[in-house]
Amino acid sequence: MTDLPVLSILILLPAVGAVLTPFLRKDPIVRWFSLLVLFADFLLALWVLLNFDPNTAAMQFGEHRVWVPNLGISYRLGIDGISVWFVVLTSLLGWICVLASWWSISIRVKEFMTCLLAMQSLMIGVFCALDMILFYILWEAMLVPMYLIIGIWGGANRVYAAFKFFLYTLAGSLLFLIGILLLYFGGGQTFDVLALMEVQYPFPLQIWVFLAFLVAFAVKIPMVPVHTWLPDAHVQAPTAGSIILAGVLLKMGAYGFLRFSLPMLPDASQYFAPMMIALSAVAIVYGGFLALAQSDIKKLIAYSSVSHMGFITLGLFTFDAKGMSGAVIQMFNHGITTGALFLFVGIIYERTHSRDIAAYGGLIKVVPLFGILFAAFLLSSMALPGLNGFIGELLVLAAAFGVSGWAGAAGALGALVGAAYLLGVYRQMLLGEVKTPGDVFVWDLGRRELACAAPLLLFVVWFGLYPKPFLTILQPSLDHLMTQLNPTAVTP
Amino acid sequence: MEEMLREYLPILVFLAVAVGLGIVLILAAVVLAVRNPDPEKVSAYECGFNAFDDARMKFDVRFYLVSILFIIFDLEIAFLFPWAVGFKDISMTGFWSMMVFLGVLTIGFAYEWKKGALEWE
Amino acid sequence: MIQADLNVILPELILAVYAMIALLLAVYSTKDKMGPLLVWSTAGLMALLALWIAGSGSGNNVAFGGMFVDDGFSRFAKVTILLSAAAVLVMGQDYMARRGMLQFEYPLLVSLSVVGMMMMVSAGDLMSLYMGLELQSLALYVVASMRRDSVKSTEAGLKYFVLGALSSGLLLYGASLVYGFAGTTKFEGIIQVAQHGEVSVGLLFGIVFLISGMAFKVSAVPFHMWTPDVYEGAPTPVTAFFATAPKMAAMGLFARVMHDAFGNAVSDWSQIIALLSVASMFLGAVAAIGQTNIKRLMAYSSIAHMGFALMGLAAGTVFGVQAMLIYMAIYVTMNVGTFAFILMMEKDGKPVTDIASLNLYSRREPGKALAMLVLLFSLSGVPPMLGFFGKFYVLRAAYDAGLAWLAIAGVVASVIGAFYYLRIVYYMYFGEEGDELDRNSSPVLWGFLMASAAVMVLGIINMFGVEGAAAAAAATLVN
Repeated sequence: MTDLPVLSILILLPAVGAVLTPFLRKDPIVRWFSLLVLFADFLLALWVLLNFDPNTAAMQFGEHRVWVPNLGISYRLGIDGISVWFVVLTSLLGWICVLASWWSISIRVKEFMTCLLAMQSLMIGVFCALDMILFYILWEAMLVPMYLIIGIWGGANRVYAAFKFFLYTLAGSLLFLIGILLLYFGGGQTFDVLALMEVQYPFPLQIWVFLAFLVAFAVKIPMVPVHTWLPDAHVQAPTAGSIILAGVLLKMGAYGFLRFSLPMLPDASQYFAPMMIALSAVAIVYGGFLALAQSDIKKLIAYSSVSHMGFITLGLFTFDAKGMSGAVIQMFNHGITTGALFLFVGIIYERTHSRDIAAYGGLIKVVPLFGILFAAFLLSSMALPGLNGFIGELLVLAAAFGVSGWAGAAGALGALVGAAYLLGVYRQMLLGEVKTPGDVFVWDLGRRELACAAPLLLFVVWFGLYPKPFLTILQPSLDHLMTQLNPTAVTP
Repeated sequence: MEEMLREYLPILVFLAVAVGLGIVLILAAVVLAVRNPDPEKVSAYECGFNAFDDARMKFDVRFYLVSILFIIFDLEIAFLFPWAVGFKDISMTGFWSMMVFLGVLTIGFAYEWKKGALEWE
Repeated sequence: MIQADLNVILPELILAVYAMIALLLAVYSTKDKMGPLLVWSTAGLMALLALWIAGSGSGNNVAFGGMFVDDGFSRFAKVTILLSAAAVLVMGQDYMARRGMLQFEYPLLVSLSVVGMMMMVSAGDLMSLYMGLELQSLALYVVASMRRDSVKSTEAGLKYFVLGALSSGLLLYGASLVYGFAGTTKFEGIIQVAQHGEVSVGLLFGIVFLISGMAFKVSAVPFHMWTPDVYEGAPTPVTAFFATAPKMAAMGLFARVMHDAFGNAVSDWSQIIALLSVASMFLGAVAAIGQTNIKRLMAYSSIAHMGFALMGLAAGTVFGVQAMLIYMAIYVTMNVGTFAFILMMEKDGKPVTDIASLNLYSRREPGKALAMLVLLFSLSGVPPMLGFFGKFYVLRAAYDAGLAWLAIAGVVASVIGAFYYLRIVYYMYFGEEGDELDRNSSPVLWGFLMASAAVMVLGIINMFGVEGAAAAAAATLVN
């Protein structure tokens, strides 16, 4: 371990890039510069991963500085076996986003890259933050660049989508702030996450805080009654925006449950577990069926995200070691896979300007490389054994059957429906008679696009075949989480 | 509380009488007076000839200016009299306070003079 | 004896004497254009005084038998008032000069009203309170109707005058009730009488009337009706002035009266202030949604912000006063920047106040649009801008004092309020191509806009030490 504040550098590098970008002159320079910064960030994240000690559940690379002593806010960073993977995921998707918007973003490139870099810095910060208020600040601040990304570079209906996204999330997260204050005054008298985990809160307080947190996280995930902003935001957002949304932002809700709700409010979590499981089951099935009915490919993937995120919350609230690890694995994999799917949708959209599934056909014959890779990601999203989606979904389903037959059945049904709509897309778009919307010429993947897809594919195959390194790093932190859940825990 | 209210009872009675009397007088005119209007009676009376123009004419704003200036110096006098009467008993602080006050007033006066507020045209 | 008294009020004295000398010099000088010169010298003097007060003052000094108090609290407020007034003067100079409104009286009236404000935050007696308040208000009435040939401006001045006089009347009535029932006008005497649990009905009425009068000055609901009209009607530099220094002064006065005179009866007034706060936050947030004029919008925004500042006061604790001071300092800084931006909104040399005219502003002026974006998000309290910390402070203070419902109401109101700030962002960034605003860029305004935005972002690192100063200031006020 070095004394270098690695995490701060990881966070600040894109931020510095965001500050410098507006001063660059030409668009190509801006693109290369952002790519360089984000790639350097990615390499740094890999370095962190390689230097990560997998034998402990303690926070590593910790940093602590007093920030606003009057309010008890401090600048406290650190990562454990769970968050390190999200840091890596975020930094990976970061430079892929730049590549994905290389040509498709042609207006106001400078501002776009600034937003992207700022997002990157904030997202990594969220996963590293170990102070409630720091976390909250970073979490909230993400709204601003995301609002701009959707609102400026989005599709036809972008303004509506941007407002909906902003206000939904803002409303949710302000309740989160109230929840934090409740925790503070309810006994912790600190915003230090680790210290708050040690506090035993009375049950009624736990209930209230859990509900406040639930609103914030449920909007972000999104869980079923509050999911309506997601399809709008996804469809209207530019490709990079969709990748960030699906790949990282949605994970933050689940991460919030994992990091705050479960360890700090174990009793309330137990109390609400049946409700959460029911909501998750509804999300899985309902999201799946909605996806089945879509003709817009982006909407379809958006609803499939609702369904897949349902698996994650389902796994978390089974309170079972298998379910938990399944959920975390699923979080990571969903980020990779769905990010890749949105990337590919963006690639084809760039060529044809259509998202209508029925307008495509037989692409695999025209653009074989595109077809094969797209198929691989579709199959991974479907949780085909041997690819990354499988193990997570299997663990979650196994745990769910252990808790309640109904939840397990709903999960299985969701997986089935998922196979149906994903195979539907596969058959319609890739197989059959060759057609493209308006018979425009489509060309195969270029080097830039391959560079985006290759690392994602690598992760998909690697985690499908040999997930052991992933699990070794994850396991101690998950075990620790299990012990925190309840000192007298009996796994149901 | 009640004691306070009792103290103010005479005032309440006074107010009631005042308002009541006013209303009675106004209503009395309506009830008792003989009304028999004709054009000559209701037209304005101006020394035997017809009115030159509307009675609601605009006043020159300069009248207001002059009256405001008058009020300022009027109030100043209201301060000066008690000060002069008690002059023997007040300290140097009292004397200089009044001098400062007059000085400030003089500055204002000099300003409005230069601005032309005192000239009619 | 008198020497010591004069020493304590030296800053006020200097500013007042300066105003009178400058008045005579300007009116008797043969030169035509004294306005710009006086603006700069007034602003310079104010900045110097601010530095002096910030640097030299220490301890609690009392002058004129307790009528005038110079303590940490008043110094904090005075520095904020002086600096913001100086900034606004400099900002408006070009705007007023180009429209022929820059008579030399303007900077002098502003400096006289600043003397009044300094008096207000230092008041230790109901009489000096009233004197400061009236000195401030009288100067402001004139400044509001500076543009004599405009119907809107004169209407603004008249409205402000009539309603201001009404509020002064209310305040005076309250003051006389307090005097009647406490037997003294001195705050230190009143606080002996107004003990918790034994506040007589008459005194309570006095407090209520005093609060009403002061709520008028801070434009808290339900005493806010004058604000939108006056903001809209007054020339923009004057509006900028209204939105900054007088608000700080009025909040300072509010805190001083409530704590110095009625500090032993917090539970008797904190509910009233909490009510004012909640009403202001919600009305400010909701009524601003429909506005298309950016000055009117800023009026409602300031009403909402006053609601938040009052939340700190409602807490009735040291921490609450500290939160209020920090909130006001941040609010004033934000408003200086925002009004610098509004002053730059022109088309064909004429000021424009329609929000829709900002369509796609970001494409033409990316730097300014970005700065405004930062300020708007800061105004709406989205982290990581400094505005969030201000909100967080008052929310925590309210929560701390057991006013959880108030904190939750504040959170809800700020979500509603975020909507209209977003609307400006929407016009600037997502709007459609339309008539363009002029690309004028006065270096002074540009500087203020950028500096204010930079403070909003960089301030989160350590708030430039404002916290500590505010904590010390609050500690001197509340014992």
